[in-house]
Amino acid sequence: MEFIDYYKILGLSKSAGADEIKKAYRKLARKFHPDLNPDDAEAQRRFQEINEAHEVLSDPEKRKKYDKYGKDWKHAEAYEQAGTGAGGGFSGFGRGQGAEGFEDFSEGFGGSGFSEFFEHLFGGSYAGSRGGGGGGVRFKGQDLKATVQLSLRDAYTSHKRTLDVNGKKIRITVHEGVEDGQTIKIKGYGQPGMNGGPPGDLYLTFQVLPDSHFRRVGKHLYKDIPINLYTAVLGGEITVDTLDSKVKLKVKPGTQNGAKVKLKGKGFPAYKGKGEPGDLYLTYNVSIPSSLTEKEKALFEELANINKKA
Amino acid sequence: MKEELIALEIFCHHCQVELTFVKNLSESGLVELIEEEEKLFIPSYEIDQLERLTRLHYDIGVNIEGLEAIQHLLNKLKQAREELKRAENEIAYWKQLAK
Repeated sequence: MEFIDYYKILGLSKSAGADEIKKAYRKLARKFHPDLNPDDAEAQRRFQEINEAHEVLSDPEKRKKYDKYGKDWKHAEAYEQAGTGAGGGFSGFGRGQGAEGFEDFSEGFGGSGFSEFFEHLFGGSYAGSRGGGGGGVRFKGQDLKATVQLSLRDAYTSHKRTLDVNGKKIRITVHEGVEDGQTIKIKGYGQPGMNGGPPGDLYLTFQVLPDSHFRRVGKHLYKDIPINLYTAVLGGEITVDTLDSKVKLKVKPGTQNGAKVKLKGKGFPAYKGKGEPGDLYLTYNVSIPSSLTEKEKALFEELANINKKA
Repeated sequence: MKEELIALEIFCHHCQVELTFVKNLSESGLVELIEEEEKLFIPSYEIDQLERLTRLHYDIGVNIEGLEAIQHLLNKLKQAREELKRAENEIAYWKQLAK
């Protein structure tokens, strides 16, 4: 882990007094506080640095140790332990004492960095009381937001889905009837908390993509059905695809272009199946023949003449 | 409902927050307090907001006036983000149709 200069982070000289440290911390915290920078991961990272710097420099004992070892503070402490042969204080870091122990010790800092060190070095977590001077403040981790895209058919039935959120696999159930723009909260799957604070939450927003055949408005579905002129005029039977099946429909003779039919209960299910399902509204689009054979043309002309006489 | 209310005194004791601070927040309209039988309660839906304001006040010394300004700007930010999200969804919708 790289050496972190806490004085530099807070923009202070090494001779800074307690008041200056507090003032510098507050000035920077006002800029980078996660509550003032929602969904800003960079601000959260900076705030964590500032908070850690403040944790150490505002506590005289911690500051003394930090000042004493300077850039090599972690090794110096380890050498002291090795020299006296008293490895007890650091037993959590390495397997043994002496030179061999240093590698393990260094590795101990590679992952989570400084916070881990202080939890071991000073004992316990940072969690302190509010207004207690240098004590750390427990801070809930940043909430995360993600969008899950679903096809209309995906949103129609309940199904399981595995998501990759920041390298973490999360298995969720997408319930039938989920709305476009609906957000669900998954507690504890946000960023980790600070100083022993609880992790943030994950907010998943569902984006239901438009479908080329069905239009959804709330729990109702709308669909255009092309029918030929002859079926519209004479009536007949057609087969219509719903989202999950096929239905046979009788078309009344004399059906007009744009006429609507409602199929009760064939729309979208209510969310989690709680409530009545929606309806499917069909709109007939009567297609007029654009190229006629001579015989067809003659028959249409005959029809037109009959119509004129009537 | 009674079970959704948290006694103000319990919250303040647990979080080591001054009673007057929460009352001042309430007077400024930043959190809602409910009075029942001469006792003050915090509705559970206000806890997140109250914790946020408490952190800003105690951690970085923002006063009540500052909190009011921050809340106003955060609301505007949230609104702007929602509008952006709506616009992005609309663009995605038209792009999908254009395919």
